Amino acid sequence: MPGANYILNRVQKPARYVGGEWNIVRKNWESVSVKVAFAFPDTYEVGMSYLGLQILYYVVNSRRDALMERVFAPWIDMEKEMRERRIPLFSLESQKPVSDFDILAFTLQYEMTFTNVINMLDLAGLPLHADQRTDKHPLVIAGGPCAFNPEPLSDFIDLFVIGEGEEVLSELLDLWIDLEGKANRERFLVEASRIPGIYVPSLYEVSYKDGKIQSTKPILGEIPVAVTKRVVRNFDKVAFPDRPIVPTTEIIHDRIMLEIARGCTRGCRFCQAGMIYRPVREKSPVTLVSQARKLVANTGYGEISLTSLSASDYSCITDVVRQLLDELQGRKTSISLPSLRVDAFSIELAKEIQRTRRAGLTFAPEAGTQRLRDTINKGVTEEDLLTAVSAAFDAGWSALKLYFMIGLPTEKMEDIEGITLLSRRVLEKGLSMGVSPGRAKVTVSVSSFVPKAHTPFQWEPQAAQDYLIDMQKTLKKSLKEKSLVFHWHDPRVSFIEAVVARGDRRLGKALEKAWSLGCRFDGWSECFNNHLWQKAFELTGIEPESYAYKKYAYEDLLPWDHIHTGVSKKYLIREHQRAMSAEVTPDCRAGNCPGCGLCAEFLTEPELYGGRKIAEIQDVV
Amino acid sequence: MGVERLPRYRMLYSKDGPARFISHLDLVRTFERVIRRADIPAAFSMGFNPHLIFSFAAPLQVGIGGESEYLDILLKNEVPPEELYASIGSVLSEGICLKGIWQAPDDSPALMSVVEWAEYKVKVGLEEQLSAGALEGYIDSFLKQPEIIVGRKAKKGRVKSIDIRPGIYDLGGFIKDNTLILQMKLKTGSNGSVRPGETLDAFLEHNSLAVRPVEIDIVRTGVFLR
Ligand code: SF4
Repeated sequence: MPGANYILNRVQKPARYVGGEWNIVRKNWESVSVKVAFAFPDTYEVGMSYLGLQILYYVVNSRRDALMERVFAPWIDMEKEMRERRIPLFSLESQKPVSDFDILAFTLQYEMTFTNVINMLDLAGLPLHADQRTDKHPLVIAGGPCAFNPEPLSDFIDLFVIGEGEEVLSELLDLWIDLEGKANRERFLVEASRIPGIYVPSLYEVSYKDGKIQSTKPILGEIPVAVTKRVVRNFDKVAFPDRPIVPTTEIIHDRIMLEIARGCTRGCRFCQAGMIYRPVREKSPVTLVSQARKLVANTGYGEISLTSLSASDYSCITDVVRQLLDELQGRKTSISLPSLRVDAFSIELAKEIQRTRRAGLTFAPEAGTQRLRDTINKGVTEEDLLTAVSAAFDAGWSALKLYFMIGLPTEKMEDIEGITLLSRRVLEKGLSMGVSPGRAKVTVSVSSFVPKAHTPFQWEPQAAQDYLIDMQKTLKKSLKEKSLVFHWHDPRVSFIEAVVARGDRRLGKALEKAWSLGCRFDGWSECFNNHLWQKAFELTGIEPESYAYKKYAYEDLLPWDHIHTGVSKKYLIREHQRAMSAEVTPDCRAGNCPGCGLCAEFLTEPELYGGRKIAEIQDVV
Repeated sequence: MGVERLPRYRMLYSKDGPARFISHLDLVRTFERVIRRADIPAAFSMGFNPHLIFSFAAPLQVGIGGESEYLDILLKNEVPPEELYASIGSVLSEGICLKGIWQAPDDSPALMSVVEWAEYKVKVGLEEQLSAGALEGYIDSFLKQPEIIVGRKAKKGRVKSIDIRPGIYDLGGFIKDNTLILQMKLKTGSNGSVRPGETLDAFLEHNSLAVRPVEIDIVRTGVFLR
């Protein structure tokens, strides 16, 4: 980069752009057949905290015939410098322009990063639209949870990877090398679309009638009518980076991330992760201890975080924690659990491993009343919560965080009031247990419900923005005790999230317009500009309300219906109906299968250690 | 405490390349990981959150390279310095280079408190030709000022005026290929430092010199102890 020192001295956090971290891989460009740039459409600090990046980096760089380098979204100040000086988007490892790579692979973790995806294509000097790119340009691919509704980005992305990327990415690279993908772009796309888990949007045509989707169909024969997600079958043995990149500058989750399990079967009805990461798979304790040992030695981190959607659900968690504590004691390495259940067992666990009580504990009751918690299938009672917080106060914590959602389907005023009442009860519990009033603190964090594709709530509308804003205000007013700290998530952002999360192909032009008007880093409150979004919708003739506020009927064709998670629609409908009558559905881990259909689809069953088995799969409606 | 009696090792290292752009706090964190990777018997502090016991000579501003920087670390027991050199040297992040390590007296004062001045090399591209003679005159006239007032950002966005003249111990320079190279000896330490950037700006302003800003490069060539 010409004048690099000078430019880097003018931007915030220049370490974001220089690379050179411990354990990075730099390969000889001439010696590999395919070069992939992995793009994370957010800052370095966010992107480097994402385990998937480390995994795919390892998978690709383990191949002799391929290389992967990283690129992140430049912050506003850096973008300005780059545009002024015509510096194209470049990778961290070799500082080479992204346009020199064969494949540019985005990960889509959050809808509000979509304008950054477009911006990065533009900064790389690539035509934004897939159909304008030629063999001179890299192939642009994308994966991650938001790829489960790929339609809003289908104009911009050549190909989506649906589901877990570890194996399918390698198959894709093999095909690229076999077919000399660079020279045979179109043929490559057709062949790729036959790899399970690959969705090539340009090979599908969507027809509409009266504004409704009529069909989404492949335009050629021999192309799958629907794309089913990929799942790693032998999770215990799957490639796992034991030499992850260690950033030199502080990132959000600056510690070892050891993935102990994947998937969650608790079945919260709003939760997309719970559906798209099924089935539950656990790593064996032996694997975990040996990986932990290597990770500690190879990184130098003093903390190891056991990650999964719900860490305390791991079958042998106590055992593994104990073994790790023994193993790591001498190296003064601490363990943390980022995701805890609302129960006393989890607190016991947290108490055992947390050397410091300074960090707060977070609980997610999600809703203020039992009826609503049953509706969302949270499976937590007020008593559970109070037992858990008692255990936490007892163990020395004085600051707790409660996480709630408003605007959930069927919500009533008493559910909103319930949030205040429950929070107050938690605080009172602490005070009655002798936590000093000066130190006791309950943070009440309230966000708005966003209906997500592939969940039992996918048919539900989002609550009106005015209502959400009103409810946030009501809560703010009623939570006036000094020890109750109220945090809220901007409902205007949640609205855009809902629009994009349930968007279809037509939304692409609004995203592009929003970007061209200047939308960037929309997930960052200091950058979000609602006015620009409204203008983008207006200029493109898109009614955002028709996406966010739409209530779908079960018969309606949904924009993402041709993408399959393996969870049956029948099950989602049944869960939706049970939600409406506030009936809970137990976790299949508890022994009975409520029939989500996944195990049948993938000929698998939940993979648990410690010998537990699931009762025979039943599929009753 | 007993901590004082642990063997103390002093490292001399350089910081450039990508490491030039990490903050002092990041550097502390980076060394913590380096030491853990090196797997040497480092001493840890007591308490809930045990950490390594480090002492740095003087924080370096982000973006400035360092050629000869010092760092002290306490170990639990004595280890031959060659061994330390080998283990630490093999696990350093890019841009950090270990130049030497030796045992310092256990009771030596904290590095920070004995740093007195630092030497910098500042390179800047000039807009116009400048002769060696003229440069000498510029430097003389700059140093002859009884006081050199610069603005420095204080807390809450306020700007404080301070006189940096007493902290400029020496200033020399030469011209090479239309690049001005200044060598500065500036007061550095726990009770006040003069920054090379502000000294450069004051110098350019005093002599109405125009520069090509894209070509500024500052390196701290040495930190000097009392
Ligand atoms: S099919 Fe049954 S056992 Fe398998 S994940 Fe779904 S609910 Fe659980």
